[in-house]
Amino acid sequence: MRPKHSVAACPICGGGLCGIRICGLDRGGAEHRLARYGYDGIHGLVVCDECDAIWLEPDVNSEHQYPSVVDARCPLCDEPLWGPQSRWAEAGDVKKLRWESAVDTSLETIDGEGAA
Amino acid sequence: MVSASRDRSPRSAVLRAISLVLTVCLGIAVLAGRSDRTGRAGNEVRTGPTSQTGEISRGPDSSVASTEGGVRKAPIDPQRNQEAASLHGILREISKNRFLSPAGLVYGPGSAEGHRLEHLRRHVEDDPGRAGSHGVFDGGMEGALTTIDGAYQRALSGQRTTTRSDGPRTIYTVDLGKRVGYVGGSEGQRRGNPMARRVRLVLEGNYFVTAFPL
Repeated sequence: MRPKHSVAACPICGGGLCGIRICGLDRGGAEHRLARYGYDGIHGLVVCDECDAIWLEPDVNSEHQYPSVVDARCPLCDEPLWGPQSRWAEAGDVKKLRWESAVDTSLETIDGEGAA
Repeated sequence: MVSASRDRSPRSAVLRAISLVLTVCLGIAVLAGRSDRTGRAGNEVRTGPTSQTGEISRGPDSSVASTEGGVRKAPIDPQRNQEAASLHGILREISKNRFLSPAGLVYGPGSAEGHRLEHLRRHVEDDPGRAGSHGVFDGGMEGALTTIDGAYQRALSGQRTTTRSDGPRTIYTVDLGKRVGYVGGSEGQRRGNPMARRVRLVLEGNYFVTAFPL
């Protein structure tokens, strides 16, 4: 359950990895919300795997926000943050999001383990 | 002399013979009865609780234990039920999937693991493959929960605590003055897994988000 590709160690809690998540993989009922927010498909988030802080850009110096502590939702599509339409981004996902340059390769897991 | 003459008489000899026969018969009857009781007892042992019939077992630890479909059912024990109601020996379930600690922290659904307790479980064992540091609590889940409760109580009283508020979140760093775990992860491993005596605790109100040793 840890990120596969991270952009930084969490500047907020100091213990988490700010990992890239890809969301909108299974649009389902989220289409209208995606349209409302101007997103027509997959979108990326950076999420701390310890404190759940969220960044909308792959830069932890940008503004962050917190999801609801009891019902965490993606701030872009309003689907569950940890729902089946979302996962820790694979290398291919990072490429689709065009966030490759933001990845800190020194934070990648040593054994390549990770989970959605 | 009289009795001796009587002993030698044919009538007396017959009586002695009858008496002897009766004594022998009585002896045989007694021995046969004893043998019969022993035999029955032996059968009871062979067809008892561990017999092929799978009947009720009445072991010393279970006066009312029974089996159903081959599954042994534990006896109803109110004290045991009360213990089962508390999770990890410290938490009390206050509503579905929400648990309250003695110090007042609430552990509920959330995090990538689905529940904050499952998230906390990550911090009761090392993850040497994880980049950076990974705090590991001593004492398994019960140890972690007890340490976190102690840290929260210290934090509330401001004892050896630094507090940072960030929107709805509060981030406490509490020095507990004794070992509470160690630093793991790839960074911790590189440093020889130094001991940790501080805890970082992230809360929203009294709702637990995460905690780990530093």
